[in-house]
Amino acid sequence: MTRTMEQDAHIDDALESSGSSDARLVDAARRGDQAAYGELVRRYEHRLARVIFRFVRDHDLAEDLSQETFLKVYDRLDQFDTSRRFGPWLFRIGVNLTLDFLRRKKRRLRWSLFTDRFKERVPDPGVDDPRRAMDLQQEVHTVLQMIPEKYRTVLVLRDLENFSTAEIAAILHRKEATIRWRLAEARHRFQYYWGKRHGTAMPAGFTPSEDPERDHAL
Amino acid sequence: MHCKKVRQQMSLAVGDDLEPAAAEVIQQHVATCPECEKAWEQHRRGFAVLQQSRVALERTKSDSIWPKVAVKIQARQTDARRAEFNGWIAGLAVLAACVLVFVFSQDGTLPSTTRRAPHETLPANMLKLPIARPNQPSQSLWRGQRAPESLLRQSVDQAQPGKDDY
Repeated sequence: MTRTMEQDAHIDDALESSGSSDARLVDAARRGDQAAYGELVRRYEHRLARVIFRFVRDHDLAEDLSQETFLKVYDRLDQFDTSRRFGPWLFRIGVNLTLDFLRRKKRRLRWSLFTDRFKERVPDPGVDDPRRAMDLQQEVHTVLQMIPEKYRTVLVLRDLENFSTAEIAAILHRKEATIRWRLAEARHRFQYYWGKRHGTAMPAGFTPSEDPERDHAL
Repeated sequence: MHCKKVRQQMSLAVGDDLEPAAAEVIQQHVATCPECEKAWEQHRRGFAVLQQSRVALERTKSDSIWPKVAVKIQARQTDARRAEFNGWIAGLAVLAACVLVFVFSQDGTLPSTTRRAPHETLPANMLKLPIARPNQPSQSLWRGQRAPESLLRQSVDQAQPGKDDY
């Protein structure tokens, strides 16, 4: 049976509130109690993998990055302030790791495009345009890729992963007002590109604070 | 409220990210402004698309990544201990080498790398100079200092062949 995201979120919340507090588990893990750290991993692994998957769209890669995140968190446990919540700190490390990975991947892709620039790529007429086979999720992902990273990250965390703006502010280490402004911009841009790709009329007087056509240049 | 401001806040209102009072103002404006109503519908459709694309990843408890993470943590700790041990070995080896060098240099058994005076490396009869003794003026000859005139004359006399040599 496929669980919905809301159900998963409730499960995560229930796990979070049950048993020892995160801070207590972190303290135990710092003293070398690996079982305590295992408990923390089990509490957050599904949510973290899901968040990372929203960015990378690859289950295996999301799992690898989740593992890497938990290893990094383990190495940095001494730096964690136990008076604060563990979840946002963990997600901050996970999201930053994922965004760094995507930036490196983008740079490599640019380089390979540059080095292959003389190789002509002829589309195979026997193969359908892959865009036709895209389902809704892929199409949404394609549109999300058109939005600059700072807006896209907020949109994914808020509208696809249902984090509150306060939680996103904690994860991204920004003021909540900044997050709300970015969220508004992100939704405007998503609306703009979605409408453009699907031929729906744009709302009259659409005035994002920056020209969305410049997004690709960013 | 002005249409421009309404549309700026519309994208937040559509996801319930505005204060209830501000959201109420937007709803009232949209109800009376046909252009803003169109924009509102567009935003609602865009937001609905995002909501529809939410699909949770199917995972079961057996999929936990903890066993793999635990193995990697163990491996890292083992590597760290090994690196620390290797560091100690290298440090001790360097220390032992330093001690040996110090001990041998004190005994004088190691060849000195400092420049030596000619009288220390060549026989005195080849130099035809008086053998250098501590606290004697000739000791300073090899250092490029000028020797006293009497000593130089004595050295020349000794170096000249006598009648018996022929």
